[in-house]
Amino acid sequence: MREIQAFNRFQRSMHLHYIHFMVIFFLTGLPQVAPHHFRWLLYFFWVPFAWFSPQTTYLSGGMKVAMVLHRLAAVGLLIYAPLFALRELKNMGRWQIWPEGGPGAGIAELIKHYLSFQPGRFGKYNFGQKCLAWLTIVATGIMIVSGCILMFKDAFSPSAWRWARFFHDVGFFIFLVILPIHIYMALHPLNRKGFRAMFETGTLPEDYVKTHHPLWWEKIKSRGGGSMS
Amino acid sequence: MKVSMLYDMQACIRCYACSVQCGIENRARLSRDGRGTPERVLENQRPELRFIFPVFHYLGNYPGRAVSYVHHCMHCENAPCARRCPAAAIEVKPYGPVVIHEERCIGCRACVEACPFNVPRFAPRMGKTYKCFMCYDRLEAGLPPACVEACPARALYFGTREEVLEEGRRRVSRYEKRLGETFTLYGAERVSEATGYLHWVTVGPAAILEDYTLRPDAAQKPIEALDAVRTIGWVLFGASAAGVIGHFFYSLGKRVEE
Repeated sequence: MREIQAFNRFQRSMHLHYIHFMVIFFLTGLPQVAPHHFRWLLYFFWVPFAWFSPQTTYLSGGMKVAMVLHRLAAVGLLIYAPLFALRELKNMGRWQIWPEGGPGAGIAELIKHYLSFQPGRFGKYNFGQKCLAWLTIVATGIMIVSGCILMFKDAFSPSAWRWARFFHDVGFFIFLVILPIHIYMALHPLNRKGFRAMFETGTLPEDYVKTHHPLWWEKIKSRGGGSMS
Repeated sequence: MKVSMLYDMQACIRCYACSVQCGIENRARLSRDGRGTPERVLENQRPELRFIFPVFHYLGNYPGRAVSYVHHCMHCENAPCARRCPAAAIEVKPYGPVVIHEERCIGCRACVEACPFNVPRFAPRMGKTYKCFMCYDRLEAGLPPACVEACPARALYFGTREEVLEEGRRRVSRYEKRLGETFTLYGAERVSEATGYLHWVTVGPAAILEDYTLRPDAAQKPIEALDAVRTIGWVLFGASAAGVIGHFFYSLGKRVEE
């Protein structure tokens, strides 16, 4: 059966590394945003560190290590994200996350797919995925700008630190709300083919695209190609 | 029993003996705590160990009006710095003083962000943040804070909260009677939601208190708004998690039906 490319190697690599960065950001950021509930995480950072610096406590040593790891992951993201953004901006006209129809129709198709378990009339991405994509873009931008201010505090005024702290929290909670939904939907059996495309092959079977992504299939046919980003 | 400090702007003769004594006391404290010989600790300048000092600023258009206020911790009842410290390095003592434990401080400056009075000072050389802790070790040994002992004009006064408020109100009424001007005992009542009342109260002319950074409703708005952001965030997270769990069971039910 013919396969249609859904994600190229660079997109899949970016998605995979974004997961790695997110795991580090969450594990090291949670003790900072909600110390009373997540201080226990600091033990894991502190135990190896305590071997080098036995006079520290899990709170001081663990938090210091968590903050260093948080910043190292941020440096990694700062290297990776602009490369990804530059490459994707070039193809902006072909993005599949632009609106197709109104939100009412989008929600109706989502209900059909996820509650009646019948294929919805989706583009490459459904309404929920498009909202998630835009929220991820906005939240990533917020986190990068506010994170840079918090990382290079000496270059900014305390007033800027305060607003950066505020928006860093806002960005964090956007991720906290959308990620459980995204992870659950990715793991749901309804979306097994999409999961395989993102993590294994990068492609979707042609029949599946015809039945589950008819709007996208129409675009592919009109362009006469088998690959759309 | 709560303790408090009083600073009387009207009685202050601007000699800054308090500031000098604070620097000496804090360096002597290092020696007392076994962190260096007296010669060594006094040889080091350590300006960050002066927790009370004058700050000059200019108000209005150039050349402006020069104002010098005395910079010190207000020891807030609700201590925003302690609430925001991720390493739990700041402790609010049961009798009032707000204390930074230097050995626990990781130098993240969350306290600097949170303080409505811009009090904590970050020392890059030490990688830590410093502020007044009301000589809590001296208090626990039955002594008054060092700055109070140094003040020749009794502009600084220390005692139980009741004693300090009584003394403050006495001074306010005396100044109002003699000078015909309204005076305030700043910090006796709740200043803002963020701070609560203050354990360091100030007697001063009501008309100019704001020029001396003693603002009504003192708070760092973006930092205090974090509580609302976090509450809304956790509620939305709960709703999203509940949706996911609900759909999981719905999917299981559908599968069984099929």
